[in-house]
Amino acid sequence: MGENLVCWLCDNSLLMLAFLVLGIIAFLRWGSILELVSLPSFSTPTPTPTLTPLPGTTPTITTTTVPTMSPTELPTPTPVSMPEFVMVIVPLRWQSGRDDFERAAQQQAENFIEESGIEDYFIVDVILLENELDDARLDSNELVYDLVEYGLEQTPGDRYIGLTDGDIAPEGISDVSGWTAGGVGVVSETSDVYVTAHELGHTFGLCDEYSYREWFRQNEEYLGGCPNPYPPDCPQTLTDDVICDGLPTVDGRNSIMGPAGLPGEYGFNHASLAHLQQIFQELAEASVP
Amino acid sequence: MRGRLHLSTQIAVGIFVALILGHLYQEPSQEMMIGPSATPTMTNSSMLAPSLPSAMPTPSIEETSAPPRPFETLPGVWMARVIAYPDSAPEIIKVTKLLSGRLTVSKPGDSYVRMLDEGGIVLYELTFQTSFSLFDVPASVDDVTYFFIIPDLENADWLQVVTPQGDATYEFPLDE
Repeated sequence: MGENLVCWLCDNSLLMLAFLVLGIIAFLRWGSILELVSLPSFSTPTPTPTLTPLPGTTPTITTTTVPTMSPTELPTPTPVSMPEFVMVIVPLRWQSGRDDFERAAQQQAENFIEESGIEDYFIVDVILLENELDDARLDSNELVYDLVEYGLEQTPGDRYIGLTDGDIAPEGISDVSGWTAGGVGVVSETSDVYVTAHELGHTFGLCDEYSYREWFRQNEEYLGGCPNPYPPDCPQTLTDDVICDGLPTVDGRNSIMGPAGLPGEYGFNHASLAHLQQIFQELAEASVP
Repeated sequence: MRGRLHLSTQIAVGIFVALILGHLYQEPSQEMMIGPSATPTMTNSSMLAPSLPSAMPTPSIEETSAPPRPFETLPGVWMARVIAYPDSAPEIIKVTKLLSGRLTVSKPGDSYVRMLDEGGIVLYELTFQTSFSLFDVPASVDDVTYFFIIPDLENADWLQVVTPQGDATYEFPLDE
């Protein structure tokens, strides 16, 4: 019986070999099919946390959504589902009427939104707080911190902007029209409509182009250095003075990361814009489950 | 010689045995491939979102809940006010529970905000970069204040802030 079986195997070995080759192919294909079928089930996102609306927690807040802007010049990919970016604007020692505040706040916000192209990556909500920060001291170098703490306690946001029609003077320096520290809050005067865009640029990692001293310090501090270069034709002098107009935009406008008060329009220059759009892209991707 | 199989039969049997061994080997390796894909994606290459440390045990699918994400308004978060110094350890000045908030997203750097469980395992981590200057103010400062919005994690017992100059810790209250 055994001998017959061996002989049968000997006689039909080529046939068996053919079956085995077929078996190998089928096995490999089956393995691939298994992998294709099983992976999607594991990559399915787990349920996201329930985002409970919080009615009534901030009853004194009015919400204003900035009107849709025209698209920026640089074509950028639009994520399928865009996350929300919330800018909260707080009046600081505001002397004019509420209408003036709303108009000024919207102008400052629009200038950043339109020039940065953030709306290609985020749905931007601009919230104007009704109530001022009590006892805000425009000459204090704690002003930004007081603003952020107050804002965080009032309403959730990603950036807090303190806006005043008065004179900001940290450390007693009254020619400052805006400043920032800590990465989340900025304070701005309305005397220049691009101040908030400049300060928000800092919160996303951009460096000053009006002063070699400031640019140099920021370049040393930042991991990887400044994303926007100091203009090569400007003097490299370590002084507090404004010594450079910054690198203009592609269409010849003044650089938002340059000094305030230049004649003409402002925009983010090419290096600044490329950095902002890269950061926005990374942030938007990080928020997608 | 009668007991010896034909050469082609030996080849066929050899292939068959190899197939069985291959099949047995492939099963556990497939599981290893699938495991990491099932973990939450908090650890990401962008480093701009909070990331779980690699030392944390990888949770199974059943144990995993969705990680808190930036750019969403979350109910019940912690706000930490921290002062960083250029020549000494940071201080955690204030930790407050807020009804709602949006998680802090910061430029990555060499400093950390961590939430730890009672065993010291890192449950949540945010990296940030300290900068001891006020932007657009031509004056130096001795410290800089940072605010961090972090999630309210059930098993978090400690808040730790680490800068290159040192670290500070805060114990979360039990009944919060």
